[in-house]
This record gives sequence, structure tokens and C-alpha cells, in this order.
Amino acid sequence: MHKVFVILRKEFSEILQQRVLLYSVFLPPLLFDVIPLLILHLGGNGTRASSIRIPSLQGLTLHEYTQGVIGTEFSNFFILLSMVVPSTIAAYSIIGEKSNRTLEPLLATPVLRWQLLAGKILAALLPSVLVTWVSGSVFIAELAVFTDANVVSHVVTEGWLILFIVGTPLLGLIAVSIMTAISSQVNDTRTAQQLSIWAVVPVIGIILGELSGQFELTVFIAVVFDLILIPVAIFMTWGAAQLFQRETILTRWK
Amino acid sequence: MNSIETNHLTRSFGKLVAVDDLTLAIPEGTVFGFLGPNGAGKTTTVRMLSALIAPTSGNAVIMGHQLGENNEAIRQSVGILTETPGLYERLSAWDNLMFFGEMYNLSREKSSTQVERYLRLLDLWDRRGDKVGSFSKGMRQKLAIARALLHEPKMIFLDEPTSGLDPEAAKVVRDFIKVLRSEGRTIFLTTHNLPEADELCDLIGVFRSRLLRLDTPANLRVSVFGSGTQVRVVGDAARWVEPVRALAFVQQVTASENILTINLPHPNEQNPEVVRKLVAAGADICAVEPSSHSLEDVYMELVENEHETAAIG
Repeated sequence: MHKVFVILRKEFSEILQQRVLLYSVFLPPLLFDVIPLLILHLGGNGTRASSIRIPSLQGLTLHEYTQGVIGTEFSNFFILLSMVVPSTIAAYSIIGEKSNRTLEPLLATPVLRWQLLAGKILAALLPSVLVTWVSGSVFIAELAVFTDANVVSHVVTEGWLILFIVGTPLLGLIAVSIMTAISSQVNDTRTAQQLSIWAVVPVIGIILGELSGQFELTVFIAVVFDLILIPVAIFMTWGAAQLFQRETILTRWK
Repeated sequence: MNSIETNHLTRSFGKLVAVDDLTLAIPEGTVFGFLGPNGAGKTTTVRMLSALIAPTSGNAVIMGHQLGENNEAIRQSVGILTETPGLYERLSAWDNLMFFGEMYNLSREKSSTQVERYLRLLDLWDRRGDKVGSFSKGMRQKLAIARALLHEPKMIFLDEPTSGLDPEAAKVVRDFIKVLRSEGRTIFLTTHNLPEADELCDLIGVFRSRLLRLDTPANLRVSVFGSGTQVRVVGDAARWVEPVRALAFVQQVTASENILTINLPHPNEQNPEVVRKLVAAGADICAVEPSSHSLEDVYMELVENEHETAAIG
């Protein structure tokens, strides 16, 4: 495990040196924390909100319901965040090694493939999960402070919490695995990020489904969703590992 | 003991055979020059021998470890300077080397000692805290060489170590290779710089997908051009080709301006008779000296012959 930590340390040193990457990592969560505050501050008459039927918000007053809709909409962005942030880091981490030609000297060391892959995945995953959880917690605190008493419990439901705590690391792992696969085919970070955007489409579908009242994110649905994510994450990680072999990287990666 | 032994080592990419039936043995402490044109399969060979890619067939033993059976041990026992330095540009020289030291299983303390040693040895100590992105090409190359040596490997692969360097930086690198040779390390040097190979190498392999010739530089000259004598005469040397050719032991005679180049099996014994013959024929001789062919002549001869053979085939 020592080498995984050595790789992680190196990756974090490099991440901290890249201002653009830091903006990409910290700006979205910051915006997702600040924008709902502004919208809540501006308030609204609830006309638009009342036209949206979100099952988990039933029983709230119109004012609470308006706040609840804003909260529910933004709460789901934190699920998406877990896919966006690691994709950004992984794009720089893996494609950066390719474009700087640092992969060959690294692969020439007696590092094992799993150590290198684990180091790379964790370097993208750990900050992402941390950023997602911290910014999500700030968001919950904001709801608690700036909305009416009943709203928090209707937005931060048990189902959402299960997805937020268990699902986000899994979604992050899937995003990193997809980025690793994309890395084998492209040579610049922008293309990789553009392609990886498609990975969030299924998650957006689920969010829209909830917001349009098609289903409620109950504990059951959240657990089922997490249970589906586990084999998907394992399969995607296995696929990434298949592409992340010395031979493949040196002879077939473009 | 041999540092490298390969036995019919072959590597194909689809229908393309990049390395074909390579069999060679490189004794410990040898500087081996691996020469060949671009695309000849040199880098593929280095990658196979440093356990980065697997051969399609054949086998090899590197530093006592069988290729494919204990690749981690091979990677631990060799150092490699890749074609491009491949350094982390946003990290300092110190951080770059510390990272690789630990990747080569050195403890943090040992790594720190080794990094200091090589940064001082390669005159980079004062720039240890600077980001590598600010380094010149020569400094990067020196840093990459330091990286290859941190774990004190007895076998080092140097892929084009002086390529693109200014003459001063190239000399520093060449002098450092001589230091490594004096320490008894085995060096596998791929280069296009033939005078450099001539200066540094004990053994030369000329390669173009397959090994065309393997010998010492001196023996290569003899085997390709024969041992011979150059005679400088007054006037056009072509006049004296026929009288010299009449001598039974002469293998080949060529004339260029005022110089006769004569291939002889035993120049020391046969030179006096050649001189007598020329004088008797009326030639005015200015000088007699051993014929000298550069390694470049040898290389061009071998590679061009191979090209012609391949074209005929």
C-alpha cells in the first residue's frame, strides 16, 4: 500500500500546482452552495413551484413548498457533482501523464499495475468525495438556517441521504473508470472531459424523473439505486483495469 | 556473467515484425551500442528488455531474472532513460526524484540521500527546488539520468541520451556515461550519434528489425571493410590500381584522387611488398598508413547492404 500513498502524495502535489484544475474542482460546489442561498433570499410567490408536483414535498405550505422545490432541485446537483469533479481530476491526472510522456518512466519502475491504478483512482476520487460531502453538508446547513422549519426534513430525506453518502463515491468511481477508458483513446483533457459529460446523462434522467413527480426518492429506491451502482462500479473499474496495462498503454494508447 | 541474454526474441505488432529473432549476450560491465535507423525496432527491444512489453516469442534473461516470470525484479534491477525525459514539470527536481526513489522501493531516508548525491553529481543541486518546467533540455536530460540511477542499478538502458542536446550538455552526458562504465555498470545505449558510439562502446550491435552484426567496433571495421592500407601517391592514384591488383594476396584495391586503399589479410607482413611493387611500377609514394573507416562507414555499409538485400528479396 505504501506505493499507493506515494502516488497519491505526488498526485496531490501536482493537483495543487494547477490553478485551472483547482478552479474546476472548487468552483462548481461553491456555486451550488451560493446560488440556492441567493434564490432563497429572492424568495418567489410559489406560483411556479406549486405547478411542480414533487411527492416528497406534499403537505408543506406554499411558502415552504417553494423553498422545498429550490432545495430539492439543488440537492440533486450534489449527486451530479460526485461525477463531474473526479472526471476533471482524472482527465488531468491520466491524460496529463500521457501528454507529458511521464507514463513510460513510471511504468518502468517496479510498481504493480493495481498500485498505479489505485493511486490514480483514489487521487481523483478522494478529493471529489470530500468536496461533494463538505459542500453538501454546507448546503444542508444552509437549508436548516435559511428555510422554514419543516423544509429540511422534506428535502434531506433518508433516501437522498443514502444516495448522497453511499451513491456519490460509487458514481465517482464510475466516472473515473469511464475517464480512464476515454484516456486510452484521446490525447487532450478537453476532449476527454467533453466525452465524459455523457456519463452523467443517466443520473440527470433520474433527477428529472424525481423533479417531474414520476417517482419519489424513497429509502427503497435509493437502496436499489446504490445496489445497482455497486456492480456497475465494479464492472467499470474492471474494464478500466483491463485498459490500464503496461503493454496496452505503451503500444495502443493514442 | 552476462547482464543480458536473449534467445530468438521476437516481437510483432499484427503483421509487422518489429524485432525479429534477436539473439545476443551482453557481458557484465559492457557498454553496448545498439545502432539502427529510425523505426528499426530499437525502442521496442529496450521496452522488452526492461519488462515493459512482452515478447511475442523467444525468451530473455536480464540480470539473472527470466523475462515474463519476474518482471518486477527486472524493473527493480535496471534503470531506464526513456527517449523523452518524461518529468513532472510542475514539481521540483527534488520532488521528481524523491517520488521515483520511493517508486524504486527506496526508503524516504535512502531516497533523500540518493537524490542529493545525484543532484550534486550532475550539477543540479542549486536548482533542486525549482520546477522542472523551467529547466533547459540539457538539465532535464541530466535529471532523467539521475532518476534512472537512484536505485543504483547495475544495468542501465539509455535511449538516445544526447539527442537534441547542445555540444556542451552532450559532453557532460557522455562523460557521465564514462563514469558509469568505470563503475562496472552494464550500459545498453541506443544512439544515432555514431562517433559517440565509437567513443563509448565496447560492443556494437547493428540492428534493423534483426541483428545485422554484433562485434567490437574494431572487429566490425575489419569484418566489413577488411584490414588494409592507404597509400598516398603523387598524382592520380588510379594509375596504380592494376599493378597492385596483380599481387596475389591483395583482396581489393580502390583509388580516390591521390589515395589508394588496399585491403590486405596481413598488412604488417604484406605492406613492404606492396610498396616495392608500386615503386617498381614508377609510383612516387608520399605516405603509407593503416586505412581508417569510421563507425559511420561501417554502419552505412551494413544498413545499405541490408536494404538492398531486402529489396531483392
